[in-house]
Amino acid sequence: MSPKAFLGEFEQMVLLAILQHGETAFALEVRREIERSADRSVSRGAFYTTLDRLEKKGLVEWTEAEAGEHRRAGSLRCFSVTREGIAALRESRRAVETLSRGLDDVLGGVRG
Amino acid sequence: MHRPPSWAQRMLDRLLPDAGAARTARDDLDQEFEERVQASRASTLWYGWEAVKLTAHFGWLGTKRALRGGDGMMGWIRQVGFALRHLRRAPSFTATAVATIGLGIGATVTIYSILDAVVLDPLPYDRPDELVAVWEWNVPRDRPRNVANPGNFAAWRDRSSTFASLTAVSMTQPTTLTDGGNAEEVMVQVALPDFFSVLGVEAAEGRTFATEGSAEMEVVLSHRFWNERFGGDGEVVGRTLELNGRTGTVVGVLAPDFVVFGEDTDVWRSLQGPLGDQTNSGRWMMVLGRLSQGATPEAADQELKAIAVGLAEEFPTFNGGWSVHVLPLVDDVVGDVRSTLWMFLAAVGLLLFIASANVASLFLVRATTRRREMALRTALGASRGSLARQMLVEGGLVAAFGALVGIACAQVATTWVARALPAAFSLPRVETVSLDGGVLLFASALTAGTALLFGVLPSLQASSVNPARTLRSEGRASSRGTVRLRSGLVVVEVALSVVLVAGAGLFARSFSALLAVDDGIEPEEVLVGRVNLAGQAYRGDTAKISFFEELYDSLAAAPGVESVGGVTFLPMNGLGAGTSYRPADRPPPDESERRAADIRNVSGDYFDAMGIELIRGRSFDERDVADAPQTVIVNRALADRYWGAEEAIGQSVIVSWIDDTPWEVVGVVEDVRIVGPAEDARETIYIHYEYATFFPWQHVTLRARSDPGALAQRLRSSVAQLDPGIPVSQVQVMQGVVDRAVAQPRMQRTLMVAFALLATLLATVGLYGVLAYAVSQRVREIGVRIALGAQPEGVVRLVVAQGARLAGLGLLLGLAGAWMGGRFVAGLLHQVRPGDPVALAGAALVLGLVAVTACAAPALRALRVAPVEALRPD
Repeated sequence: MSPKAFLGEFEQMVLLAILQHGETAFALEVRREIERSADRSVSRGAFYTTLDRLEKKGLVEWTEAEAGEHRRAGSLRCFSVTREGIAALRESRRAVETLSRGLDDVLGGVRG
Repeated sequence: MHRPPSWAQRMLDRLLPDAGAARTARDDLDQEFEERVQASRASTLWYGWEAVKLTAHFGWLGTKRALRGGDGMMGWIRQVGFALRHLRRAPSFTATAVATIGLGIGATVTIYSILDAVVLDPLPYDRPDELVAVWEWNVPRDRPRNVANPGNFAAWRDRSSTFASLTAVSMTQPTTLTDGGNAEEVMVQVALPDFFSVLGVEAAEGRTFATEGSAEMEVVLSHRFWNERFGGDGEVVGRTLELNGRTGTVVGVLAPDFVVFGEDTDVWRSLQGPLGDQTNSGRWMMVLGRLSQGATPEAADQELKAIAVGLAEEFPTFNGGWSVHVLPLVDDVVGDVRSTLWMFLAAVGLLLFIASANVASLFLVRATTRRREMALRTALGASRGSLARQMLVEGGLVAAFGALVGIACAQVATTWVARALPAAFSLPRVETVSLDGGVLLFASALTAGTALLFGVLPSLQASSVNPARTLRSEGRASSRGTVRLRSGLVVVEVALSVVLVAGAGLFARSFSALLAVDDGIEPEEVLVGRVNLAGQAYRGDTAKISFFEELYDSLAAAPGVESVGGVTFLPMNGLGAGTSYRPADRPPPDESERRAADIRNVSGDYFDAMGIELIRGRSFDERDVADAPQTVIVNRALADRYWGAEEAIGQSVIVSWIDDTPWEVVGVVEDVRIVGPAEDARETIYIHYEYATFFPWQHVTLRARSDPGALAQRLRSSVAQLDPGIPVSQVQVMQGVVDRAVAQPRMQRTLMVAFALLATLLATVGLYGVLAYAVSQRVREIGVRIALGAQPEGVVRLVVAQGARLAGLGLLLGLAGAWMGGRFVAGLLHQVRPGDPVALAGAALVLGLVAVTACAAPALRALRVAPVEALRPD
């Protein structure tokens, strides 16, 4: 995976939401985090497809957690952002910041 | 404890890949469901809806991937070749699927091509959206499309601002054309000189009228008439013709697709002289206008309505109770055919869907039998995508072959429609029906849609094959999902069939209600033909009257003639004249309360000849001569309105189109339908022809002792004996006129019944297929049951219960659908409500029989299962 490839907006949100949850996060919680902080509803299909794509790009990885006794399926996946994932996030952020320089008047000075 | 709905879980089991994102999504959905259950929120519905969305998402992703994947062009070509080999190896499967789809696409494309030509094609004029038709609206009689008065027309033209131009043409008039020595009757419209230029129509040969008017009468021919009468001879331009004794020059021939205000016009002639005013020239113009830039038909309607209010104040006697109705010209040309055609398209659309569901079902069975092949190929390294792609390609190929078959069928059908339908009844522009680019585009879209419908389901199945499990097991248990999917398809098929059968029932009931209406005449033994005395030779009233008297004497003496008479306008074809009237013994009513009646001028023994019953009083006879007291005969509807049939005799009416003197009622006759059986009886006044010779013709009506058609020659020869220059036209048996009045409801009924039959047939096959397959899959289980002593009834019940469940569910859904769909066609029905219990119950009964039929053979097959046979290992 080339680190030069930019992340999509939704991909960034997914990565950030995982990081917000600390080292690891269950998919379900990541999705809720995005809905909560971005204040928008997240299509189930699109979300999991994005997770899949991020995993294929090597930006996230997952481990199987022990299933609770009430789960009918065998596995629960805990996602974490890989080193490449963090690098990609940094890259995207730097690009945005560079492009935003001197535009405080237009953008209202909202930073970070 | 609440559980997720099992159908949703099964759907996810069958259709979602058991790995990756889909797997995680599925797990999380289950977890969220449990959280919701604990919070006791409406969770079952929520789960179902989320499951559907998830399935749709991954289904679409998989389809996209399958379509995109492969090894470029060569990969696709290889795949097509592979699919072709596969299809050739199963010829009966392929033939069945292609024929089914071909049938569906053929029917749909045919109906669409008619809709396209009649309704969707823009009119062949310059900027057709700007063109509107303008009618006078007789408010008390609720006739919003009445011809207009020339004085009112002139006032609209002068006082309105929403029109760039307004022009007019007369109603079609039967006219005697003399060309050399031959006389014949042709249908003529008199047009203002700017009529064609307002439409923006160019002539195909020569030119149209000179817009600034011309000193001499100009004549334009219709393309059809030019071909029939002059053999398409270009030399006809410049020739002189005589119309009702007046000379005119042919200046041009119109293009074949010209249709405005009636399809039967042969000739247009330019109007010479002044228009006429609000008091002396009645209503006879058909008006059309071109809107000025930015004006809408609604704005024009409002403006002219306001002008009409003013005109009613200026001329209260003539214009009281009259308003104006403006509508887009295309609506006027197409009329009420539009809703019928859309309904047919919806019906064939359902048919196509049922056909596709059947083919999808076939594909699913085939996919099941090929599970081992798929599993093996997966095990040998084929990707899910490539397996799914193969199923899609096979589906696409079947759809494409089906489309070819369908388009070939549609080509035959549309050629027939364009040739045969115009004679049967008037459908505007139907002769232009053909398979053009737009129709073919529609056919391609249909094909792609059907291909997706029956390609995607099996492709999802193929890609969810678990090779290890399939190769290890016998592959039987895993086919249950297929049965479920096919069961779902069958439920949909049954439901849609119920809708179509119920629809057919509605139209059949409506049609028989129409036929049951007593139209007041006995048309069976009657021959009619129009004898037209238009022209210089019969200018005087007495000349016309004595001609018809002589003609009737001659005809009455002919063998086989029982009685003979004549009338200005035939019943059941919608044409005619009318005016306002009032009983002489009452004060004149308010303008808005004034009643209007149809006026028919009759001669000879018309009532006898047409079979119209005389209820009271007498018919016209020698007492009703020109200088005797003026007499009328009225119909039952008019008599009932004021006096009742008993007391009407001896009363008087004032008929405003003649004068203000009272006319004595000497007879009351039974109501006769003017337009057709669907309308209520209208007030009608019969006046002797002696008082209304300004209509120069009579529809001579002959009642025959046996075969009315045999009298046609006699009618012609009798007229020719009196005067060979008098044309006799529209000679036909009266039954033909009556049949044409119900041609449209007849076609609605016939086509809907045909669609319903096809749908029922397809649904039967579908239901049978699923049940037969289910039995074949359960042979072993049934064998064990029989071996353990199960009774035959039990085994039969096993099969029938399954069939009944599917048919019952389909039936319920279908009845609900039919009930809702019925409301869309309510306007096309006569005396039948959309929720008609007989039609709905009939549909339920038909589909019930279908279910029994479809169950019978599989049930018998189950009964005949020999335990030994069934338990033998494969």
